[in-house]
Amino acid sequence: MKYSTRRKILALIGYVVTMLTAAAGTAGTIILAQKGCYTTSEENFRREQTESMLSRDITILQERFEELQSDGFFDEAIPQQRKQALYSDFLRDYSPERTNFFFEIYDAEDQLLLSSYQDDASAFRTEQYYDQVENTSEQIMNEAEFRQFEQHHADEQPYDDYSAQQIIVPRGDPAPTLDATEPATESSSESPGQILIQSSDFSLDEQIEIALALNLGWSEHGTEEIILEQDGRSLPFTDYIRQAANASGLEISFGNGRHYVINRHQNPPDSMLLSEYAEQYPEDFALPAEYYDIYYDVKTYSYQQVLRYYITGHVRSHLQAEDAYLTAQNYSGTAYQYRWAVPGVGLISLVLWLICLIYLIRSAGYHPGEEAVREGFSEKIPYDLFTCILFGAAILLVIPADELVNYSGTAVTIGTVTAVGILWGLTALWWLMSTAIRIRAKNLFRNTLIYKIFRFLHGKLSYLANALPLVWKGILLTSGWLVLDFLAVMMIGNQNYFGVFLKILLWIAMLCFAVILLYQMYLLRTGGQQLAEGNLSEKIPEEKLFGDFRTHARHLNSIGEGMNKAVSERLKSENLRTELIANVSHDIKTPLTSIINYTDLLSKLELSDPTAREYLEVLGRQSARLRKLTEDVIEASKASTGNIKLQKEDINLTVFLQQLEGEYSEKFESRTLQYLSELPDEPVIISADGRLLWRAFDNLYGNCLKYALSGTRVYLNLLREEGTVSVTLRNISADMLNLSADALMERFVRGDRSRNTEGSGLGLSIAQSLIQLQGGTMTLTIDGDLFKVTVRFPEKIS
Amino acid sequence: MHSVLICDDEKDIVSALKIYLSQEDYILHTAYNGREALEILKQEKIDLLLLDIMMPELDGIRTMAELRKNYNLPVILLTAKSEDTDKILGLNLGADDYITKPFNPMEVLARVRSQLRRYTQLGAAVPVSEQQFRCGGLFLDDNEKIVTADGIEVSLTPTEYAILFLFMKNPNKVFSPKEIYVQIRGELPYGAEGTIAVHIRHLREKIEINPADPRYLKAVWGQGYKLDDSERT
Repeated sequence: MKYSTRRKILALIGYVVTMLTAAAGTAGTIILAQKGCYTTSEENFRREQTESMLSRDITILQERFEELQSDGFFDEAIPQQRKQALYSDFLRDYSPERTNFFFEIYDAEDQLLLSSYQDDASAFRTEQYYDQVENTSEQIMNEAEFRQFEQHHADEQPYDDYSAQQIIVPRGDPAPTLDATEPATESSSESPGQILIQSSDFSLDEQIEIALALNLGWSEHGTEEIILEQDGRSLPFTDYIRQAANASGLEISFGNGRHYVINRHQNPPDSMLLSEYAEQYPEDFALPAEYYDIYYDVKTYSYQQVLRYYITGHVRSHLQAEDAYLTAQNYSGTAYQYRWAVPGVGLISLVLWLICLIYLIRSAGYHPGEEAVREGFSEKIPYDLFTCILFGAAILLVIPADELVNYSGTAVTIGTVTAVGILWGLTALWWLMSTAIRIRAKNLFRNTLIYKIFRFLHGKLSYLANALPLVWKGILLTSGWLVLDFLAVMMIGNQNYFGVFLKILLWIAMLCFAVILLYQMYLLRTGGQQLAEGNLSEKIPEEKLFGDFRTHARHLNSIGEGMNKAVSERLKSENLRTELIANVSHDIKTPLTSIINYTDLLSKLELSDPTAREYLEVLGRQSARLRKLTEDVIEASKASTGNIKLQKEDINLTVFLQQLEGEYSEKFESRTLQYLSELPDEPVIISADGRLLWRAFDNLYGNCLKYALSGTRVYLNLLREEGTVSVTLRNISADMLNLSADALMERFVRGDRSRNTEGSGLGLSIAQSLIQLQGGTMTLTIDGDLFKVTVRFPEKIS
Repeated sequence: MHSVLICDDEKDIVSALKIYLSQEDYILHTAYNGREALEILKQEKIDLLLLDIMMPELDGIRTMAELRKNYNLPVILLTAKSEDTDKILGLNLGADDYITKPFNPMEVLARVRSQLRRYTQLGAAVPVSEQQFRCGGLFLDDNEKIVTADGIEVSLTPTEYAILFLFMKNPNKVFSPKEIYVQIRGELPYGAEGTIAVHIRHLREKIEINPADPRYLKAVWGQGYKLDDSERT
């Protein structure tokens, strides 16, 4: 065989490999297309990638804080333990793997309460909080316990290295006390939309602090802008701050209107702004320079008495050259470079995969050195069960895989997805190959549970159905139907639309049942009709009938068979009889020849006694009659059993009757019979065997000659009526016809039994048989002395 | 003097036939089965064979098949088998004529005479001028307006002659009564074609040995008549 094992294994390996590359190629192509790799320039693409990454990170961070706030985390009324729990939940939901940020929460004493930075000791502490809260969810820590707990971990706070780079998220405590305690007294606030801060009252640094503090309460105040006055000049908040910051070596930049980012060089002469650095060396940075400001830590300016808590969100990796964003951008560049290779590889892999798949499916079931398809162990399993098991296993596989993906790193995720993909691919392949083998073995449907159950049920049910009498079956079916119908009506009454469905189903079932029933009855009826018409060889197709109908059909068929047998046996015996009669007649003819010949010879001798001559005459007459009788007997038996070969041709009855008349005209004259015929001018065509027709009419005319009363008229008519041709021959019988027409037809019966003329009495019978053989009919009518023969044939229309 | 061999297993029939045939001045030989007949054929010069079919030892059909290898004398089958198929079989195997039992002695004599005449005198006679026609034993000379059957002149009425002339000119062709009428009278019959059948019958009575079983003028029922020229010899 051409499907060698080596090739099969190669195809299998190819199948798995190409499946993976095809999937990767396809997914990669889709992702690249989504990111616009095929529509923008490389530069744009790279920037967009890093920007979107950053903005995604920021958005996630924001959302988390909003969630926290909406949970009431910053509400004073909520006890510490509850906050711990809340934040634990928050951290758990928010996997640090997913972003470049982490969170920290400080209390009013500037103590770090929580952090999501796992690498950090405080994160460890958070975890411990979390565990503790989780584990002691029943007994919430009281204040003292919490303090104790905090105390216990106070030393593990190695929090210094990140201080310079923090993003302030403009969320914090609503700071309701701000108005009362702080600028309200010091500023002469005139208009409700403005807060005035007199620059003379504060040092520049203090002004900035105030501004920032006010800014923290921005939304709560509903203030459109904060105006700082300097030297009688009021400046817009932002401009002022920018100026102020610039003057004191601070860099202030503005985000999207929600974020206010203030940067400060702690040591301006020594360290360069990252943004400046980014401007100088753009190749080292993924983001435009303005993203790389060093963020100013607001903590140092916080009003301790105002802010009970504040939260900082950190960019996880310190922003620096060759950071994660740059890496991402470089990857983007590479991806862009190979953007056409990805779909190409995917496509080629797909084609190769398909080839492998087709090869594997085609080769399924064939083994080297074997011609026939061989079913493996999996084909022994019922097909539907097999399908369920395979697909069920494939679906179940997702559950552990999902767990793995959710709580593991990228490498594990990729590994898991790959493994699941391979397993799915192999499962699908197994199923397809098994299906192919089953189809080849013509075993697809037979080896299913449903089929087996159906067969089992069918066997039992049909046994039950056969065992029940017909009436009971009818009652059961009808009552079952009625119960269902009642249910349907009830359901419809209860506005249950399944009722409508059920009702429709019932109607369809009834229609089907009626159609099937009628069809079965039709089959039985036509079968019965065939029997009645004598087509005994026609069988009712039992295989198309069910149950009692089938039984009935079987009975009818066996009646037909029996009758058929009887008929063929009768036919056989008739043939035998015909042969017997013919043989006997032949044997009679030989002695008869001698009798006739010697009677003739004797009559030629000189006989003195006149009585002897008289006797000789009797001998002659009777031997002639015997001769005629033997010939007629043969003919009659043959004609009545149809033992004659027909050679049908077109016969013009007009010509035929003229010919007949020619043969008989003088014989009629010699019997002083007047022969009157009425024939149409046009030809009248029938299909018959000319010689047999002649023999039939020869008998009829002979009969007429023998029994017609001398001196009377003989009438012959040829009539055409609606596709039938009828020939009528009428004469007046010489003797009283003391028999019925039927009796006259009977063999060996003549008009008058007592008569003793030549002829066998078979003439009419022979004529009738011959005419019937050719597809015509012959009827006799006796009306007093009027003797009428009517012969009918279907007219042949040319 | 012609010699005739009579072959039948029924002795009474043989002697009856002998009595009839002796009236005609033939040299007669007799045999009682096929084997005897073949023996006599070897020894004697035989001009005609009357052969029964159902005989012991060697039946008529096989005898005929045997003798046809060496002889071409006329053979008349004489048999009780009267079916058409039997007749056709016999004629196809080389019989010249066929007579069914019980037979009319006069008919047997006539057929013997006819076969002998054809065999001895007319068999080789070849027509003739364009005005002369032959069909089996029938001969018609239009110059002299003479018709002979087996060499014996037959007297015909002008109509009968015209009909026979038509048939002799067109042997084996079927003419309907109407066509015959038109041919001989040159006009349409207008219902008078019925008379043709009567003329045909009269004609048969004059030229046929047995008018009820015609050899030449045959009826094709429902179509017309034809002159059968399929050679029986």
